[in-house]
Amino acid sequence: MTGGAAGRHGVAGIAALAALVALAAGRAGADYLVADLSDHRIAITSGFTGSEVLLFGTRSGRGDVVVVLRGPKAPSVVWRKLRTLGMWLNRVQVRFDDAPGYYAVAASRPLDRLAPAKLLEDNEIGFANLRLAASRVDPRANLADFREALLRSMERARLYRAAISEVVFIDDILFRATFAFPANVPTGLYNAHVYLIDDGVLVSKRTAELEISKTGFEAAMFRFANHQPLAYGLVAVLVAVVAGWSGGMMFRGR
Amino acid sequence: MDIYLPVAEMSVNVLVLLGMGGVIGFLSGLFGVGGGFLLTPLLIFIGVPPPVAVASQANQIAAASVSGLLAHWRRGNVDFRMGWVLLAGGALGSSVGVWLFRVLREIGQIDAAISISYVVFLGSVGLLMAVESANTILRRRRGAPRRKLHQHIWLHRLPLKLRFRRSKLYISAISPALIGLLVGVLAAVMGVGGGFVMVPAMIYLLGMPTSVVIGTSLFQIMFVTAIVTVLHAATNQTVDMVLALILLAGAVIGAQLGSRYVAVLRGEQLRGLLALMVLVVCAKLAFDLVVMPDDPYSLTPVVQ
Repeated sequence: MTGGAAGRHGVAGIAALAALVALAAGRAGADYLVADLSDHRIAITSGFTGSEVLLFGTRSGRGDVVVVLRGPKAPSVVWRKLRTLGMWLNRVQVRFDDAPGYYAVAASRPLDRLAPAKLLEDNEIGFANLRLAASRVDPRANLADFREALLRSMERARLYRAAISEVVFIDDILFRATFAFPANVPTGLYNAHVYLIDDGVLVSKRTAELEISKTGFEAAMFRFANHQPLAYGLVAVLVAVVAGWSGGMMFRGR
Repeated sequence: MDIYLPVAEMSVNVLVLLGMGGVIGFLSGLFGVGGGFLLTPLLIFIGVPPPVAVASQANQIAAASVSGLLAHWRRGNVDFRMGWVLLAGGALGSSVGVWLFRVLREIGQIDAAISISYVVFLGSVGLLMAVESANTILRRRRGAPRRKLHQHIWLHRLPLKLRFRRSKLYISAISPALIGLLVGVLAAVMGVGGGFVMVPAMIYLLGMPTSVVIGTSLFQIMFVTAIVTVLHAATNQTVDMVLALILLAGAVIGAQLGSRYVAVLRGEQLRGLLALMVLVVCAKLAFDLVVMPDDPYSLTPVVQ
C-alpha cells in the first residue's frame, strides 16, 4: 500500500519537477526558490498504515535548502510520575498548548554549518529551536525536563523527528526531500516551510500546504461520534444488540 | 491486515483483535464470565488509549451478553424483579462512574485509577474464588455435608423488603440495589460487565440460587453496559464501534469453542483455574504500578 503511494508520488513529483525546470529556465538570474509537495491531501482510509509525502523544488544560484514540516497544534499535557503510597502515579504536570502534532526537518547540510543560531531560532528550525510555550506549570516541575519528555514521547510515536533528514540535490537546481507519516498521524492542516539559505543568510522562503483528513467511512464514523455523540451511542448499542443476537443465532442450531 | 479504527485513531491488525476477542470468548464460554476484565488490559497493552478501550469494551459486552441473556430467558432463569432492582442501582452507578471517569481523565489519573481498581477487585475476587474452590475440592475429598441454601445476614433485614419469587427470597431491595450501583460504577470505570463481582455477591451476600444467578446477572450486565456505552459516547466520545464489532466477532466464535470444553472440567476446577487467571492479571497490573517505570514522564492529549 505504501509502496503504491510512493510510486504515485514519484510520478507526480517528476511531472511537477519538469514543469518547474521549464519555469526555472525562464527566470534564471536572481536567487529564487520554488517548491511544492507531491500531494496536497492525504486521505486516511480503513487500510491506512501511514504514508509519505515528497517535497520537491528548484533553486537558482547557490545556497542550502532547509524544509520544516509542521502538523496542526496538538495541545498536550506531560506528566511526571512520583512514588506515592508505594505506587508510581502522575503527580506533576506541565501543559504545552501549541505543541505541533507533527514536526520534522530536512536539510541539505548539517544545521550548525548551514546557518547562524539566530536564524535557526527565529524560524524554529531543529528540535532545539522548537518553541513550546508551557502553561499550567507545576512549581515543582523542571521545565527543561518536561520539554525533553514531550519531544521524546512524540519521537517514540514517530510524530517528531530529531534526526535531520536529507534534502537531496538531483543536480544543481533540483532538490527533493521525503517525509513519512505513521498510522497515528493527527488530522489537520500541515505546513511545509522551505528556506533557501546562502552563506548563512536567508535568501528566500516558500510555503506549501498539505491536508491530512479521514475520508469515507472513517470520516463519517468520526464525525458522527463527535458531532452527534448521543445518537452515536444509541446506534452503537443498537448495532451491538443486533450483532450479538444474530451472532448467537448463527450457532444456535448446533 | 491492518484496519484503521476511526475513534481510537490508530491502525491495528484485524487478526490480533479477532484473536484477542476469540481468546476472551473462549474463556467466557468456558467459565461463564464476560472476560471484560482481561480484554480491557489487553487492549491497553496493544496501545488503544485507555478511555477508548474501556468505552468500546462496554459496547462489546452489551453485544456479547445478548444471546446469553435470551437463552437464559427462554429457560426461565432470569429473576426479572431482581434484575430491575439491580438495574436501578446500575443505572445510577454507571452515571456516577462515567462522570468520575471524566474527572479522573481531566486530572490525569485515569490510567492509574483503572489499574488500581483492577488490582483491588481482581485481587479480592480472585482470592475469594481460590479459597472457595480449594475448600470445595477439599470438602469433596473428605465427603463433608453441604451447607444451607442460604443464611440470613444483616443485609437482608434492611427496610424496603421485596419478595423475589424466582430467587425464593424475601429480602430488602436496598442490598441488591447497592450491588447494582457498585457494578455500574465498575462497568463505567473499568469497562467490565462486572459479573466477577456480581455473581459472587448474588450467591454469597444475597443468597440467590445458582440457577438464576447467571441469567439475572446477564440481564443487569446487558442493560448497564448499554447505558455505559451511551453515556461514554455522549460525554467522552470514546466508543469505537469498529473496534467493538471486531472484538465481538472474535468473541462469538471463541465462545462456541469454549462452551464445548466445559463438560471436560468440574465446576470447582473451572473456578480454581479462573481464580488463577484473575490473580495473574492482578499481579501483572500491581507489578506495573509499583515498579519504577522506564520513563517516569508520559504524554496525554488535553481533554476537550
